Amino acid sequence: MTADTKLEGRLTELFNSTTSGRAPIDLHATAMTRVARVRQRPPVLARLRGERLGRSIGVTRLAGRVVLVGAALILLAMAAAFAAGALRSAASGTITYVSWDVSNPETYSIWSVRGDGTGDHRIATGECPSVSADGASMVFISGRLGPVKGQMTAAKGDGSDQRVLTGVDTFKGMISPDGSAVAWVKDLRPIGTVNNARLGYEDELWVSPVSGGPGVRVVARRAPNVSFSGQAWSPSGDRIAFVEKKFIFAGADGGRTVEESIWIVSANGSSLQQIATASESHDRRWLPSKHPSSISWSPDGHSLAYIRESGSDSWLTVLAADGSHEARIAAGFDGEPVWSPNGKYIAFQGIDGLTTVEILGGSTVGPQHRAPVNTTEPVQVDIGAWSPDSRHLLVIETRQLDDVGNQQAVGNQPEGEPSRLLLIDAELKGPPSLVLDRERSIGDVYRCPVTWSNR
Amino acid sequence: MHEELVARAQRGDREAFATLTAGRTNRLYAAARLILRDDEAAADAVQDALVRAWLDLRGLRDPSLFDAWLHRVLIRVCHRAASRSRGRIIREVRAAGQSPATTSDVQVELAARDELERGLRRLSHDHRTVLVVRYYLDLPLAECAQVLGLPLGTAQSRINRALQALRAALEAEGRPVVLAGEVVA
Repeated sequence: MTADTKLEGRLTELFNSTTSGRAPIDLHATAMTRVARVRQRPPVLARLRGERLGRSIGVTRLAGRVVLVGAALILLAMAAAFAAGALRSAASGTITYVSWDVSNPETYSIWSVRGDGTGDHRIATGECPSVSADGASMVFISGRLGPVKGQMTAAKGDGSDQRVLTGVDTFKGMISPDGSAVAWVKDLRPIGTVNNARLGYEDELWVSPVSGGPGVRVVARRAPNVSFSGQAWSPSGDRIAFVEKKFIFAGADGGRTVEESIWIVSANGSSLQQIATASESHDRRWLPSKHPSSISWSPDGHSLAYIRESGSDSWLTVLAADGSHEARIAAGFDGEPVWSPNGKYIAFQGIDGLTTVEILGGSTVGPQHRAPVNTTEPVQVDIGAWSPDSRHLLVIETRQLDDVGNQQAVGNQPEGEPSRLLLIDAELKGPPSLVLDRERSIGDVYRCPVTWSNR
Repeated sequence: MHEELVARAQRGDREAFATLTAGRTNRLYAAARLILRDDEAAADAVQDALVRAWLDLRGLRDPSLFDAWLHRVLIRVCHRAASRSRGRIIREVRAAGQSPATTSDVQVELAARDELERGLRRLSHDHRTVLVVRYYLDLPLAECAQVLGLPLGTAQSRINRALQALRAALEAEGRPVVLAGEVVA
C-alpha cells in the first residue's frame, strides 16, 4: 500500500467518522424563507447560446440564433459604453486595493491605481490596507499567520518606508483620518489555540501611533468570548466606534447566542459608552453572522450608519452618535453601508445582495435608487469606496460561475475569479465606467479590499 | 423525479425547490463544516448556497447535473466565506518537546485522528476544499473536476498537491515552529 493510498484511507475514515452531525434543524426552513424573498434571475447564459430561450418561447433554433446575434451586438454596445464611460469619468485621487498576487497565488498584494484607471502598480505584500484621507500614510497587515492574525505594518502611501508596529497578534487596523494613529484589535488567544464554534474570542482594542512607539489599550478584554470588530474613526479623529460581539454558549448541542452592540470609545480610552444593541439575542447557528459588519460615520460626526438585523430582515439604520435615537431607513442585505464624504449619499447593498447597490439620497431619480451593475452575466458586487469628491461610488464586481459547463467564464482557480473595479455615478447618470480589469480576485480575508484617498 | 423537480423549480416553483433541497441540506452542511471548520460559518454558507442556487437555477442546462452544480455553488460560497469573513481559525502549532503520550490502542487511534484533524486545519482553504470534494463527497475524479471547475488533469494534480500538503502538515506537526526567534506554543 502506497503512502498516498494510506493517507486517502485515513482521510475517508476521518471524514466518515466526524461528519455525522446534522444541520441545524431550521437551517433549511430559514434558507427557504430567504428564497421566498428573491426572484430567480433570467437564464442569460443559456439565452446567449440560443437554446433555452428558443424552447421557452416556442420558436425555432434559428430564431434563437438570431437572438444570440442580437445579444452579442448588445454586449458589444455595452462594452463600448464602458470604454466611453472610462474616458468620461477621469476620477481623481488614488485607489488602493488588495488582490491575489499573480506571481505567488498563496499571498495577497496591495496595489495602487489612479481613479481614472491609470498607473496600476503593486506597492506592498500584505492585506487590509487602511489609508489616511490625504493618502500620505497607510497601515496594513503583513506576515499573516493562519487565517487572521498578522503584524500591523505602517508605511507611506506609496508603500515605501515600511515598519512593523505590532507582533503577530493583530486582527485588523484602521488608520485615523489624519494618518497619525491606528486603531487595531489585539487577539489575546495564544497562537496554539484551536478555534472552533465553541471557543469564542478574546480581544482588546488598542490605539498606536503610526510613527512607532508604545500604544494605548483603549478597551480591555471585557469578558471571555467577546470579540471586537468594525472599528471606525470619527471624522474628527477623537472617537472610535466599534462592534462588540458577546458569544454565549448554551448546552451540548452546539447552540450559541450572540449579543451584538455598538460602542464608542474616545481615542485615548478615557471614556467608553454603549450606544446601541445592534441585534437582539438569538441563536446564531443558522442566522447570518455578518451584521453589522461595518459602521460608517456621517461626515459631520453626528450619526452612524449600519445594518441592523431584525428577525429575518436587515435594515439600513442611522443611529445618533450619542445613542439618543435611531431610524430604519431602508431594507438592506449583507451590507457595509458607506457614507459619501459630502454626506449626501449612503451606499449599501440591495436586498438581493448580488448585483445591485442602493444609493440613498440621490436627487435625480428619487430618494433611493438602485444601480444594477451588470446584468449580462453572473456577478457578485461589493461596495468599495466613495471618491473623495463624492461623485462616484467604486464597486467591485466579481464574476461568478452559475453553470457546471461554464468554468471558462470565471477561470480555473477559486482565487482566480476575474474582478473589475467599476465606477457608478452617484446620480446614476450613464452606465458604470471601468477602472480596472483584474484576472485575479480583488478582496481579502479582512473585508477591507479598497480605499480611495486624495493623493 | 429528481429532474422533474429541478424543471419545476426552474419554472419558479419554490415548493419544488424546497423539496429538492431538503434532503440535501445535511450533506451540504457537513461538507461546509469540513471546509470552513466552523459550525456557524457552515450554516451561513449553506443558506447562501441555497439562495444562490435558487437565483441561478434557470441557468442550469442539464437537470441531471443538479447535484454537481449545487455542490459547486456551495464550494464557491465557502470560498467566498473563507476569503471575506473573519474566519479566525488559528493555525495550531505545537511547541518543541510536546508530543502526545499514548498508552493504549484507543489512545493511539485518537491521537492519530487528532493529528490528522490538526493537519487538515493547517492546510489552505483551497487544499482542504479539494480533499473534502474528493474524499467526503466521495466523487469520482471527473465529477470532482466538474465541481471544482477544473480540467480533469488539473483536478488530479490539485488532489495530489493537497495530499502532499497534508503529508507535509502532518510532518510539521512534530516540529517546533520558530517565529521571530522564539518558540510559539
